[in-house]
Amino acid sequence: MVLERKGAGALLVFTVLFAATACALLAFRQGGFDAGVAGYGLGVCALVILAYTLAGAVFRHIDRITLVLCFFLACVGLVMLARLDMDAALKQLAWLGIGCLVMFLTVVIIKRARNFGWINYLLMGLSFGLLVFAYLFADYVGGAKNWITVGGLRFQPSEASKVFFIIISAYFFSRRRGKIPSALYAVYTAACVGVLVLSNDLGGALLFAGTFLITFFAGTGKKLLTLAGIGVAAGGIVASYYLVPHVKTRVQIWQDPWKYYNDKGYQIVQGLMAIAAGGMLGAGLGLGSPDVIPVNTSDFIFAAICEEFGLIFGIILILLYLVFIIRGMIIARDAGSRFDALLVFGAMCMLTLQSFIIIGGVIKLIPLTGITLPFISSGGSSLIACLCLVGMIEGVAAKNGERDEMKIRQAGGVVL
Amino acid sequence: MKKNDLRKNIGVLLFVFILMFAGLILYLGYVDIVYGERWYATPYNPRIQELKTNVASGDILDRTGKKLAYSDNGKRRYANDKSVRTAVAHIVGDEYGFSNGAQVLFARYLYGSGLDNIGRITQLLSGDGIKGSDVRLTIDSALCAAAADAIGGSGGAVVVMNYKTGEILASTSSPSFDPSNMKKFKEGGGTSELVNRAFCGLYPPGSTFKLITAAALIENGKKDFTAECTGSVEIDSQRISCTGEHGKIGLEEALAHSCNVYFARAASEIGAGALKAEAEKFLFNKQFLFGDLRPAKSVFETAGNAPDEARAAIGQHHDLVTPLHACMIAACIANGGVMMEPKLLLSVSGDTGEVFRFAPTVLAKPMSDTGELKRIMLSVVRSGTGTAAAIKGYKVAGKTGTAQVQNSDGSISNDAWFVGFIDDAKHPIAVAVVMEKSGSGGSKAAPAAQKVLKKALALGY
Amino acid sequence: MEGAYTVAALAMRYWFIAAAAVVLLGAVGISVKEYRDKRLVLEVAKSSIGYLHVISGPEEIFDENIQLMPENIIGRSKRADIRLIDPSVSKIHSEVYRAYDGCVYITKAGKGEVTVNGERVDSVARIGSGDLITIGSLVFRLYLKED
Repeated sequence: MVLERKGAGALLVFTVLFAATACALLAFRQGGFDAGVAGYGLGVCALVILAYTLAGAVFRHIDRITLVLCFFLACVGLVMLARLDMDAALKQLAWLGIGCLVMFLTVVIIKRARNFGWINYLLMGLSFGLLVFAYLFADYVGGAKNWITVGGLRFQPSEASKVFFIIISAYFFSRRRGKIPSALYAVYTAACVGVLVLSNDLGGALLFAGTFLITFFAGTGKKLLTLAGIGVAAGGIVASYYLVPHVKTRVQIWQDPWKYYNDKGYQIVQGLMAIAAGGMLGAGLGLGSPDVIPVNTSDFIFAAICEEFGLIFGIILILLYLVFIIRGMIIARDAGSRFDALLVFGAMCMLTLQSFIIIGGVIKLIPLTGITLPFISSGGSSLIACLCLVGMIEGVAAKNGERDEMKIRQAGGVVL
Repeated sequence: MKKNDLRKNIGVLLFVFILMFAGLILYLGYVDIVYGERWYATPYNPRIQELKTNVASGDILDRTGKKLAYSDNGKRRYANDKSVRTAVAHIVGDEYGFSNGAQVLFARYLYGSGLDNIGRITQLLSGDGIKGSDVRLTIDSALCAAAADAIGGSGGAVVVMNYKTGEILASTSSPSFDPSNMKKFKEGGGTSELVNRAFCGLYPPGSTFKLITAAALIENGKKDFTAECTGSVEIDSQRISCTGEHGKIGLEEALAHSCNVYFARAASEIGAGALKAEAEKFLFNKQFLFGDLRPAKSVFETAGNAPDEARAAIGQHHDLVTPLHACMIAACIANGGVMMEPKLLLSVSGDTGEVFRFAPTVLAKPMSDTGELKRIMLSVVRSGTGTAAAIKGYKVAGKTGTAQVQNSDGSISNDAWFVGFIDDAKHPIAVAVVMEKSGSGGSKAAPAAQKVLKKALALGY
Repeated sequence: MEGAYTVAALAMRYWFIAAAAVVLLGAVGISVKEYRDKRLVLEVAKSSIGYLHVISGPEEIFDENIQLMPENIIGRSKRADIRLIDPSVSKIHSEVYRAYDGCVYITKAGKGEVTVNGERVDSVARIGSGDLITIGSLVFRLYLKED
């Protein structure tokens, strides 16, 4: 435990150094010294150090390494945004601050809550309502009806729905509920996926469906039913290929982007060009041309990172996500109650699928969908939702830690 | 128990996730390392345009060291001799990115980003303007000029390869353009001249495809197959006519005189599936992903019915091949059944010395022994349809082809084909010639091939 | 100036990759070590039956908790499970163990004195959570894990 604390602290130092040196370098990019960028860099470092120390001080047993990983990824995103678009970067920094507060709140809530009980039904209504609201009133951005603008701020209701969905799923799979509640849950899930498909947010629909199926398997262990579910989902995807023109376009672009270069394929081609241009070591921060990539601050930020930081760095990022996921799964395994375990598991599932789908889409492993890369992509709602999920994970980790401490104390061991 | 079930499931799914991410990493690494250049070196890449503003492009030389493109006070200049310029135009490319030639394909070297880091940093620190590396191609410009001259004004292409190493000794496409005068393209003028027919032109192979059918016969143990040719054959009430009445003939005579009836019958003897398999062994229907060039994919489709299968076996139906691929096939037969990967980049050298030198790569091994085919191809030139390609004192082997093409107005014209090689380890030269709408392979393409081969021998290859 | 930026950016590529690699490898390394350590400690804790809290004794162990396993030999000898270095403690002084009936017992195994809540132990005595135990001149309070 001591080793973890000191070790995580050392890793945080590297994270902060990374952010500081990168911002220092960027300050000189336009010739003279840009105090704005330098100040921004200091802000990033301050926020990370503050959030980490506060979290460690207030909660005795949170998982520090997971927190550092999360902050490192966020810093990579912040640095890249500073290079691409200072406005977006500043906004992202603000959202990160707010997100950290949300994370703390979530940790507190999770530590106290047992399984949310009747609140789940409230959340179901809220979550579904948000999606319908988005469907009815949202503006079309990039082909998906996803964003709501309130007084100059844009946010995605589907992100909040995702968080609620995880809680609700954990509740329903933690114990055998009655027939009616289970049916209600099934209807709720199908309805959400349906609305997302109607809103053209295919990435979101895929996330919901995927997380549902995986959590279903984990919670019930019913292999046959899960396979049937996967079959239905696959059928749905194939059907959407024929029925929804948008899907067909995406698949065609995936198969041969050059044919559609002048129109829809432009994005993926530019992304791949950027990755190729980076080579192993990258073109150098500020030396490449990631600005020509469309949507480079959110969906394609991974391509921009690979261009300037290199392929090796990109692979290390993917591995960092993987370590983050593995640690989360271990927390889920050690959880005290089924609800806790499923909560963390659902959160990890969502993050895993999200990262996999977007990175896979950018490197043309699978067709592109418009979802964000957790922690790194620009986007307040996405960042806050992801930090909320981290809060859930840390909350359960804290509970685990406290339980372990109790066990050790009772046995007379020394708690480090 | 429920708890342990959950834990076990979590473990299983964690394993699945790890596999997924491992797949992601492997795919990313594979795609970037293997195809990275393909994505980078295209005219659409704005980064290359940007490089041009900062870096003086290196020179492009042919294998003898003659300058094909070089920078002079910021302007890009090409070979002095116009016939040379136009002969190598498609290979060298233009500086505006209209055509996909060496100036785009090897941009990384030409604009210096191929240098390693120490090289770049020293270059920056030394304060000299950044100059890219010089690129030496495998082609011989004199041979290209001779090839362009040989096919004259007709559209088409010539490709000459060293069948032992895969080096492309010459490649020319007609009609061509003058890279030092791109005005009409900048104004949006005709683009037909920009197409590199040697690599990207897809033509029906006509009788040259009979080499593949013959290979299929040999590989399937049917080289003693005979057929009776009465001048034409009827398959399912569709008539396929032949170039003459050949009587009862075997493989050697059939190939030498290009008998359609024999090969039409051979198609049903081998079976459509086996013929397609043989074609695919010779890399039909396969996307070519070479490091140096981006040729088009050759096509061989099976038909559902016998008459079309017969036509496919004699190189019509929907068969399509690029002149480069045709040359690769001839080269493969010449090289004992080993197909080498075509190479365009010979070496790259910068301030710090030579940065790259090509190495021959084996692409495929469709046949284990081509002695029989070689012998037959020699008789094509000795006493068959390809006598116009014969060169005194050398063993020239080949196959002619007269491909029927339907024009947009419904009329039919003939593309003249000749593919062949010199059967001599000291002169490992393979050639493919196609001349659009020119007539028969024996009377038009074979003489052109002879001129090209003679020039190649004269130049010492 | 521009050249200097380019050189700096090119050079720093290595640093960025190194920093990320350190974070990655550090996280992995620490995770592995932490996992192992935790498992070890938890395993020990699991099999532990409780602990002895030192009320009076040598400075090194004063006010500490000494973990109790299902069987513990207490004494001055090097081979004792719980080694107490004090002249009043015999080489093999006592044994504390949990019997099949689930109860915990203490024995007098040597010349030294063993008392439970002030009463001397002749051979074997049953002990429970909260009892005051003396081994020689050292005093402990016993805490047992509730199952």
